[in-house]
Amino acid sequence: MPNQSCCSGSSAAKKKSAGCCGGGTSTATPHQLQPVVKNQNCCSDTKPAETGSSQKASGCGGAVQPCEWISGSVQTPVGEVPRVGTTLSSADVLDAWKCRWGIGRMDYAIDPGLYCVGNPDAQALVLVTSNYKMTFDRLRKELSGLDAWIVVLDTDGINVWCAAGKGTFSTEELVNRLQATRLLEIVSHRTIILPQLGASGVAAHLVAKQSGFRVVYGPVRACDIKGFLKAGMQATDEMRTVRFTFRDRLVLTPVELIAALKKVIIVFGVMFILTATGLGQYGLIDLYAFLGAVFVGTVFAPALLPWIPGRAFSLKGFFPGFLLAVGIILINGFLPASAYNWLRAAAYLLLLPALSAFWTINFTGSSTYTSLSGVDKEMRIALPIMIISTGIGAILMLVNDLIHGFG
Amino acid sequence: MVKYLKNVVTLQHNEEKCTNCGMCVTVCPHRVFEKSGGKVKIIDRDLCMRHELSFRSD
Repeated sequence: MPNQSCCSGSSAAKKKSAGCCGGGTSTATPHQLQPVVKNQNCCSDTKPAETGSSQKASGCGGAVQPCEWISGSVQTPVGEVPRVGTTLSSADVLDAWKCRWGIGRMDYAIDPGLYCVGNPDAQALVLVTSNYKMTFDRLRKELSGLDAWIVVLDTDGINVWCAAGKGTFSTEELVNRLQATRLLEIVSHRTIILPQLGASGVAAHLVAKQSGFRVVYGPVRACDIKGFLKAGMQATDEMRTVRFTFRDRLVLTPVELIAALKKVIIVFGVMFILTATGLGQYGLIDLYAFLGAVFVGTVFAPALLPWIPGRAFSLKGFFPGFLLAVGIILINGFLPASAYNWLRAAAYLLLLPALSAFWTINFTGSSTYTSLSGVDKEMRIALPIMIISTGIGAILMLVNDLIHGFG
Repeated sequence: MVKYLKNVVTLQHNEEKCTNCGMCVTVCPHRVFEKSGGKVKIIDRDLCMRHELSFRSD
């Protein structure tokens, strides 16, 4: 089932691996002290005793392994604040890549609190972000040459947009975090820059009232921050608009592919048992037919989304799935053959497009433009059709086995 | 811009309650709103993805 906009997924039983957010109950404890890093070791056990959060910083796995993205600290009236680098190491890049493939993705978080880049002083900028390490890396990578404070909120390792939707990138968390980091004593101005996509979780006027800080919304993408600052904290329309380019979509597909493959392995297991026990005859064709449907639904259709006809994701997944089924049937010369092959061909036509449609609907959870109300409507119409189509297809396969086995 | 289904968006603009502060124009990542002549209005409702908790007035 799709979990809409990567997070909310109110209508569906959500698999942890399927969306960008997964479950995870909040461990946020208000009034945590900042993680003052004294020995450049983000995984040290010298953290404030009040900190209730578990050690989350991945990429700093071991207990005494130094955290390479922290390079020293800056002295402030309230203590030392860790300084982070603005270039990503190969480990950062590798970890991000692993997340894209669903490895360690639900636990890729850093400690919330105050960090900085460069040599910030009391007049320096304050940027706010989430504690998903990939998000944090994307931000710091764009801050080369700048002196700025970075307030990292505890979003359970979830990106800003999803966390805002989930309610962890929130007014409450922001106000509490500002208090815990004692930012009022560190900077003399009263302006903080939030990412635009955090806006749905934050009521700026309440933040001002409760913390004394005025919220300015920065651009959607971290790469526009310098342009935004240069223009006197003004974002162009383009900077304020979320995109969903071919590349944006493509990087999101491996997670979907892996999640789908994990399910298809069960189907393969059943086919293997049926074949091994002589009850069925499945082989290479079935293997690549189902793998093809997975690929079409999780990679091909999402990548080519704008160019496939239809607005509904189910249709966008159905069409190429249908072509796949027809292609497999033609290649294997099913059509002119016996009843055995006709049944198998019919089963493929019912199964493959329905499965690829299902996986493409799943991609609504990753898309940047589908609404929950729209996905609900689509599911109400498409889901029964997909279930019936898949069910009849599976029955035809089994009937085919029976005819072949005993006929 | 690719669009999703038509007429599924629940977004509403209450002109009586709206203070025309323009925050929606700033933060909406699909540029659904526009402010002209001091008044905010919805310019393309179908672009809205209605991110669940958006625009709570609390």
